Amino acid sequence: MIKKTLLRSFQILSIVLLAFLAVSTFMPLKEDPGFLFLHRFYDSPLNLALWILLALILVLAVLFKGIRSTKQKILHLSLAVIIVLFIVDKSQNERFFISIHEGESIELGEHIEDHDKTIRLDRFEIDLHDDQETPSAYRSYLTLDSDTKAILEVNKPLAIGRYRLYQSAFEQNYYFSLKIGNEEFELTFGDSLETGFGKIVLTDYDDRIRHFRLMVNDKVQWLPLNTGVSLDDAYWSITPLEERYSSIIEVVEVRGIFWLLVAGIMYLVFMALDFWKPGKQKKET
Amino acid sequence: METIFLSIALVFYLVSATLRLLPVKKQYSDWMLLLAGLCHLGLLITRSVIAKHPPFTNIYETFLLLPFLIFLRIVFWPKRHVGTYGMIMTYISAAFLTVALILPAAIKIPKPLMPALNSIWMYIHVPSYFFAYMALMAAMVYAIMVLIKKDSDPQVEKRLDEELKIAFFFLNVGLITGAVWAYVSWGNYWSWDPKETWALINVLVLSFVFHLKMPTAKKKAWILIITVLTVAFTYWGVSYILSGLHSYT
Repeated sequence: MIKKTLLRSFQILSIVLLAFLAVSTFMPLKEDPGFLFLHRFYDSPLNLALWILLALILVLAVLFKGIRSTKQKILHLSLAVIIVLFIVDKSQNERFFISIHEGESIELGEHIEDHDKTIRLDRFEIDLHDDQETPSAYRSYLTLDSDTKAILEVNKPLAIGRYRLYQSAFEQNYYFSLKIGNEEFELTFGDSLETGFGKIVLTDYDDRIRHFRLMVNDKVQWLPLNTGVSLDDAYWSITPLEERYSSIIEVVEVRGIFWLLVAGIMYLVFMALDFWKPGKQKKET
Repeated sequence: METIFLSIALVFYLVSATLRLLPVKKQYSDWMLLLAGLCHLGLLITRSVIAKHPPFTNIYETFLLLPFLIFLRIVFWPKRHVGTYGMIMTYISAAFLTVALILPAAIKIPKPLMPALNSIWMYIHVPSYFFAYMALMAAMVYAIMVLIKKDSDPQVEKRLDEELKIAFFFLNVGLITGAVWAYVSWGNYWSWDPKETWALINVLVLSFVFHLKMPTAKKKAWILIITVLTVAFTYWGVSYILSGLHSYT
């Protein structure tokens, strides 16, 4: 009786999950999760509840003799462990991005309480395939704590304690030298400077007229490329410096991931043993 | 060169399968099949050399690889299969190669691998799925046999069960190795990306085969057919209709 109930529960739950998962892939992502959370089903409490229920059914099937074969018991328990560890990882482990400009450092301690580590991006490199168009590797040359050199690459994460660093993305920044009278400033698009002439923001460059657009004390001011102009009794000029990259690195806490991998391997191994052990009598769950 | 190998392999597959229908010695068909396989191997090697990576990174290449796996299955496990199975599978291989031949040239252009794809896990994750697809193809043939025959055939049903197990196992291997690869590459083993979600849906659908109250071959055959449809959608539909992290496939 219990076996039949559990089997029926599994079937119903799986059909409900299948329906929600399938429909949600066609729904555009929106802030408002909408009807039955379909616009953000993956983050929804409904998705969480269905998976917890599924894990519970797997455990109950083992406990109440819904499954008799030891291999199948281990297989089902491994799956329940995978679901639980997945939920714990997604809800507990930290995950955030850091962006470091070439030649600059960041303190990991500003993001993580107990990890006081300095990460400096010495250089960012993009390797290209023979076609000279498609990238073959993105590589960050890092210095950790002023003395340890490390290379961070896609598919080659770096371990720092219980965290891993992943090469996630990059930005190409154009730096310019802004001279106002005798003062010189280095800036990139979006930078805001407090100067003796007020607040200056470099907002844009118009390639047609070859002029930079600046906001000086919230007023638009256009500056020609490489040619100075006199403004407010001072000589203003802007010239391009070298391009610099910023490396965007994802920092991920990896507590419990090892056990997730162990559960995954156990799940596959016991499935194979259950399916292909010579001469065994297969019992349907 | 690639197209020449493709065309010759296709002709040999068709001749091999057709010879099975004619009252001639079985060896003639086997020899044709072997020649088809050799040309097919030449095709895959040529493609790999040109593309500088194994042939499983786009739709065209997968249309070349999948029929080769089917060929290996027919050649190396010939006695495990019953009746006209070998002939049908050979025709299926020929059908895949025909589609590969007529695909637009733009799809066939080899593209270098993106950094994320440049990983040892690609050589485990992708072939796992191809073994699963191969087993699904084989199971599909048996499922159709089960559904069209009025009387039950224990041998066909046994083969269907065997193929279902292989398909289910490798769908799971593909899912888990994909998660490991995503973890190594992006630091996130599961992102609820549409391709990932549909890969999970495939496993869930096929798991019904092992969780039937009264398992019969016909029920299993229907579940298999639904799985083939969801797998086909995962493979082609998700790639073209839904965007996500796997958009490059």
